[in-house]
Amino acid sequence: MAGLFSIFNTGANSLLAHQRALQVVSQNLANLTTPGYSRQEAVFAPTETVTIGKTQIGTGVEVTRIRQIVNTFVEQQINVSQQDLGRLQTQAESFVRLEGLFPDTVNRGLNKALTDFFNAFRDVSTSPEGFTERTVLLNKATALTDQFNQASNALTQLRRDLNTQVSQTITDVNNKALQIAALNGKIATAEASGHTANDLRDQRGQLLNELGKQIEIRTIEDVSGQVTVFVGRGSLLIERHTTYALTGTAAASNGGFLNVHYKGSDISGSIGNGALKGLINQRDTNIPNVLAQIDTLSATLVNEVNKVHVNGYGLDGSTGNDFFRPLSVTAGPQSTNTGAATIGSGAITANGQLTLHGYEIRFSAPTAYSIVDVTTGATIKGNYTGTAITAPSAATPALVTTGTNDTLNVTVDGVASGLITLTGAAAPGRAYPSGADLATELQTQINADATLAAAGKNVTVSFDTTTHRFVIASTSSAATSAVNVTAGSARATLGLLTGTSTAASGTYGSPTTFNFDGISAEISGVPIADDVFVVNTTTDTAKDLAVTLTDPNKTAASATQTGLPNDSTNAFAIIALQTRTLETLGNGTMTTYYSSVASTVGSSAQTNAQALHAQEAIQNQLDNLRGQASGVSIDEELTKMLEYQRLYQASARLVTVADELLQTLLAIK
Amino acid sequence: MSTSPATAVKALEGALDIESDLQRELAAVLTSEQQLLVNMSMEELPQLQVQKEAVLKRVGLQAENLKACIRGLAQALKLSESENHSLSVVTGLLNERDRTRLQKAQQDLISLTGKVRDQNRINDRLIHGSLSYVSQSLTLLRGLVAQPAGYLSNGVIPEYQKNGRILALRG
Repeated sequence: MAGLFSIFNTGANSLLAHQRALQVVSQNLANLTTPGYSRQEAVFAPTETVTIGKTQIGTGVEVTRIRQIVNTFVEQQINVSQQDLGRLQTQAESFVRLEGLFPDTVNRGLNKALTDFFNAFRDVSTSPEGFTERTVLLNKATALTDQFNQASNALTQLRRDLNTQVSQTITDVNNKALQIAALNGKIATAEASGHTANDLRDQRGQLLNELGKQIEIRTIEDVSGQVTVFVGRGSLLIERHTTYALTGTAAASNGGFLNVHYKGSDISGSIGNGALKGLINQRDTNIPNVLAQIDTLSATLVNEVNKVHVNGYGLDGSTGNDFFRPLSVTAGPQSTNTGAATIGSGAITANGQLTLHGYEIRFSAPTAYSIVDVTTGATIKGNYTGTAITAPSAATPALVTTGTNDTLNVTVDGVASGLITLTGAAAPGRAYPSGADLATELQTQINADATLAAAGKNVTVSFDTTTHRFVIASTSSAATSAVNVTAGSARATLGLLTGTSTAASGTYGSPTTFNFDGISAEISGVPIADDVFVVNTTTDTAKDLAVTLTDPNKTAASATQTGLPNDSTNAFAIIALQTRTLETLGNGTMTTYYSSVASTVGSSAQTNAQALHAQEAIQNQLDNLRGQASGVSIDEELTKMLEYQRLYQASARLVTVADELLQTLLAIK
Repeated sequence: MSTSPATAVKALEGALDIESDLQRELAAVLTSEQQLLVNMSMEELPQLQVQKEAVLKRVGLQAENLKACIRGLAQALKLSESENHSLSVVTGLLNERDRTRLQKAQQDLISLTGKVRDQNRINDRLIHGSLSYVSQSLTLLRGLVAQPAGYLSNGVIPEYQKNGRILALRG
């Protein structure tokens, strides 16, 4: 009977093993649609044999372990792909909003408002005496400023929204890190007995992929089965069952937006991929770039229109009026400054000199500075900026009288000129009817100086029609670039007596007023090495853009008072701005510049969309590769089950046949 | 023309030996079948079934031959042809030497057949247990086929599928 029991025991073991194997199949099927699930299979091994006499008899089989089918290389590739997907998908979402703000067509949005504004000026030029045309112009101008305001506000709001997403993503990263750390502990405990914790590993793998989608990670698995996760440049996020949280810290240097901190240090710049990288890219680079371009465009509009308008005459005979709210200087210390120096609010000294670039006044020592144009990366050109004078005109020309006020001495880039004599005349002197004429004369005579010419030194001289100052600037952009007016009888007449000489770099003493490219800013106090002061004229221009003119009659269509009310020369000059190429816009017109901004946004969005599309294809391919190794094929399982059913049914029929035969045999006993 | 009892005994003895050999062969096939079933070596199962079917066919033929031999011995012993004589009844009428030898062969065959029958029942349980799981799996699969995909090719799970693991199937 022992033999019979043995056979039954063998059968029971085998049946149990068989059931477990089928349960594994069922598990595979049950998780057919579970993302990240890896197929499992039962591994059989014979149970211990029993020795009876000299014969060893098998006692069946058992399932020794459930093996997970995983391709580690593909899993790693999927994790990296998820990081790319996270970044590109995040960027794609904000690009959709950006594209909505900047339609790349002439008949919509800002572009249409610009066209409407210049068309309204055209109508005024046709009927300069018409009050209706002037009123429509102010309405169109207001509509244009509204468009700029809205674009600026929408971009700022988009940055705020992205900032909120940064905060949420940091929280999500920390939560996932906690879950992965907890799974690390469970896996280590479960696998200490020698078994593989397949389902826990699946859960952790899925979480690692989700974490990778949020932030670039690198992982290492130790011998206990626990993973160590790094972010940024080697910052430890998860170490076995311990996590180190990321925090979002508002940074004054970043407009109060959150930077990603790890153990007190800012690691925002070292996050290389994932949704967090995409959010930071958009919030801190792409959108600010668009905003800066919109600010530049609006600043150009303001400066160019005002420069012309201020010299024209309204129907009421008024002149010197700005059309738009004038530009202002934004100056401030960088948040990293540690010295005691401060910078004043600054002022515009020559609108015609404005480049609309950003500038930095950098200190290499408490008494040594240099001024750099951040947009071009070059140091500024040294210059001498005069004080305001009465603008020469045909009615009140500037008189240069030989022997009275016709000489100057200047130094250019450290080279002193000889005595420079302007072309004058005997009393009452030679009459210069405009600042431009006198500037041409100054430039010609200075550059004709033999000493300066021998040294290869040249200057440009301009007269600013808004602030009525002469500016003599070196043509050199070397660090030694500097201009000074040291003597001469013409200094007082030309406003060059108490002007300011600002070299590209030089010695600082508190207080010092720096004049460069139409901007004036005073720094006082004691800076220390590496302190930087930032100066520009475009910050928030689009946000604050407004029409300052309220009375339609003050619209300066006429170039002269005598031409009123029918002269439209000044209006024509403003209309000409629509098609004029401008240096501040990279030698483009306002329309082409805006189109460039819109198309840049569009092409960036398209590039991102193409990259996202390609990445999705890569992800699909990786999913397929993963599926070949780890996935569960419903067709495969169905075919297998149908085949099993057919075979089992055939076996069952033969069992019945055998049983009937055996009964027959036993019946004949 | 009737055979002598000695010839009939010899024929019956030979038939019992052949039947015993066939039972041993069948036992070996059933043991192999059990191994294939528990190991789920399904690709080898059809070949074994062919082998098993051939053995069973021979077992069936040999059983008929055995019955014929029993009837032949009964005729040689002048027993009524109208009765269905069992092996035990027929061998009980033989001399002691023949009776002892045939009863030993009979007992060996009964024991062997019993063991084969037990093995056949174990296999029967394995097969029906397996069939039960296969049927459940097929039900599950057919249900899954009728459902839309759980997640899209890009890995996104549609809202209506966000209900965790879809099934937890146990036997």
